[in-house]
Amino acid sequence: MARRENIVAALRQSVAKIDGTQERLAIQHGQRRLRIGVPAIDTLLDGGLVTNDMHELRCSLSRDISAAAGFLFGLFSGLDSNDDIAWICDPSAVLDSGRLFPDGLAHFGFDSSRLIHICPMDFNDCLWAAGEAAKTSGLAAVVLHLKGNVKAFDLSATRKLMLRAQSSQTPVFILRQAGEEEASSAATRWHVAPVQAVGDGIYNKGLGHMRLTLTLEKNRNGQTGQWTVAWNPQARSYEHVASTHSLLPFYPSADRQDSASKMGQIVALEKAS
Amino acid sequence: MKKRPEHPPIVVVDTIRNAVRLVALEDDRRLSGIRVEQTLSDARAIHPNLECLQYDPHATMTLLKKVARWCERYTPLVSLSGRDSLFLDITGCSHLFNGEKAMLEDMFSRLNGQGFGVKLAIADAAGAAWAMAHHSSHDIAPAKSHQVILEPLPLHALRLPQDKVVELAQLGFKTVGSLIEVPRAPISARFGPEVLQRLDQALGQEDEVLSPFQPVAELVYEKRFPDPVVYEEDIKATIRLLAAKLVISLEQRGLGLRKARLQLFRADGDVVFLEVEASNPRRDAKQIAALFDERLSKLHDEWDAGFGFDIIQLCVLRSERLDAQQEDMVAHNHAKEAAMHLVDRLTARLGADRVQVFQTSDTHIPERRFNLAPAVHYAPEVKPYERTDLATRPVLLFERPELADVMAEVPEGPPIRFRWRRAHYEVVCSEGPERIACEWWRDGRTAKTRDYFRIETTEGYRLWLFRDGLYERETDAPKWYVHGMFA
Repeated sequence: MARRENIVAALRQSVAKIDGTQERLAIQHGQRRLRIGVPAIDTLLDGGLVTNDMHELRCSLSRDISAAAGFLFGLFSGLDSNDDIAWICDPSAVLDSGRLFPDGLAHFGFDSSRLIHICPMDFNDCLWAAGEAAKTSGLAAVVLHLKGNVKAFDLSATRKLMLRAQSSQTPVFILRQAGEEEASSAATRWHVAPVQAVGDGIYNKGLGHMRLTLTLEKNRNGQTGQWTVAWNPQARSYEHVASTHSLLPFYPSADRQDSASKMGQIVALEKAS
Repeated sequence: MKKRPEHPPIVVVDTIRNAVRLVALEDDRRLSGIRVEQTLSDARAIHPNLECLQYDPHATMTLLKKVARWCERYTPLVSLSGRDSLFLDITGCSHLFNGEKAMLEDMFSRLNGQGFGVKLAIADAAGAAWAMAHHSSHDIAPAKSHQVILEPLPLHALRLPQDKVVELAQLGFKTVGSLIEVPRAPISARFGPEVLQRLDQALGQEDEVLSPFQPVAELVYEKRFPDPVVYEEDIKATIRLLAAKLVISLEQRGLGLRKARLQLFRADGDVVFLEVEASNPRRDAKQIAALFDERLSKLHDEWDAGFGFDIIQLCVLRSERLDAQQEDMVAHNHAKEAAMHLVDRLTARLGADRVQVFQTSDTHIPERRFNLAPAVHYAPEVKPYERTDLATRPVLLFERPELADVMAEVPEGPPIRFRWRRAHYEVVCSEGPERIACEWWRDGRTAKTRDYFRIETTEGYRLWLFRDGLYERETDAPKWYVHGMFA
């Protein structure tokens, strides 16, 4: 009997080797997962985000940062530890995004006394602080909130952070505000954008719950995809919703002057001299 | 000041009693006939070739403080006196320098080597030492015999105000000795208690309280080097050595370190300070040394070791009770302990106001609901949220509400479209108003009521806007602000 199991296991190994999914099998056995709550996403990720790794969340515009931060705090409600969370923010990012608001975080069932808020003077200190935090095994998560694509935060810097996350079993999240896609060592990279939530089942007239378009842009161990999800504060998890795109596909500006351009885009300014 | 033979003699001048007068002058043979308080024109008449410098009290004080810091190599109790004197309480310190005479010689040669002209004196009482340093050629008064030295000195030696000295002089009191002989009661009645108090202090009959220039450390460990050390590794090794010694003393007293200071005395007279704090009492040599390591590596580029450091001191500024049993109990919560270590290390390098925890306070004004406090000083308080309408609060809040151009259907109604940060938004739906009244007891009568609206735009952005002021009752043209972003 035992011999037969050994043979099966060996066969599985060799199939996985051919498939290139050996890493996935190894992961399935030992590692903890952070469930998102949407079955489609969780099956694609083999049960959720790997907790001892680095993940990146990005949004295209500065004003999308609240959606990305909201998504992150939604994820935190699925963490099984109640330890502290180190939130490291780049001073330039805070100018645009504002500060975390404890009352608003409580909406996600998050206790703000768990947050260690670290705001160094410059980005090099941010990187150092993130590295120190990622080395610490007593934290529930480490978040590095930065703005745009910083040169100092290149592939080797992300790899260093990822290796530390793996050795300390602490999940590290990169929250990239108004940033482009960039090669990194993160296990997954998500693009988050807010979606209008009018006409929610419960609130017919008022504002609905947080609704996001999640795009899995990079997945080290599998497929990518795009979903529209909504936050369910009662169940404290995400649920899949039919992707209803914006009710107004066009801007109603036919008889008015054109609207101002979106933020985060380059505007031609007059030369200083 | 040290002599510069090839230059004209230096004098320092300032405007005193409507004339430019000399405040200090160089110790130079060429300056015979010139004295302090002389007017500059008189001095120029005697010696036309003078180099004048304007007296800068602020710079002088800064220099004096630097010297005071440097003097902490002799005793931790150094206090400032006036604009040109320092008191060092060397009780129980002199034997470390092979006696008072050797100590005085060491101090003199070091200060002289730095270019200062100093007058030093040791006596049983602070007042006597001051008098000897300023008005006598004696430097060490043998125990209980300084009255003999003080008697011939002028009354200025008693640190009395100028007008009192003049008044006393008019009555024939010119020396300290003349005051000792006369009955005390009439003097006290005529000149106030100060004269006799100063006299008693000088004679050592009344204790004088010296307030130290810096908070006195609870424990100090120091290492002296015959040859100054320059390299960072040597300094780090010294810190580990001192920390190991310190831990033994802390253990004996049942204390743990909360705040410590490292003082590095540069051979050329400068003193470098590094202060670190710990969020929990610490009694582990490795952990204490690690805190300084972070600071040192951060300072790496900025500081200048000069000719090296000849004394390194480790001072405990604040300690707390730390029982051996408590240590065992804390070991249970491994994660919390690790997080606290992280806070300490980050604070050591980034500063206490950069590593913070949230604290909530009992107010309705959103920006006052929380504040960020240094994590080393405040353990995060666990306060259950009593609010039920949490969905009405945004995830991110702007520290300063941002002005928006808002168009509303009716002045008191919700916004329909607005422009914020140079972008245009159409409101699809809104909830509100939620009225938050001002805190008149803090902001005064002119503070305005805010009407908050939660709105959603066509693009799906959920924002928190408020109208500042009630229409017509508080203002005619209320302004709108964006205060936060919902997820």
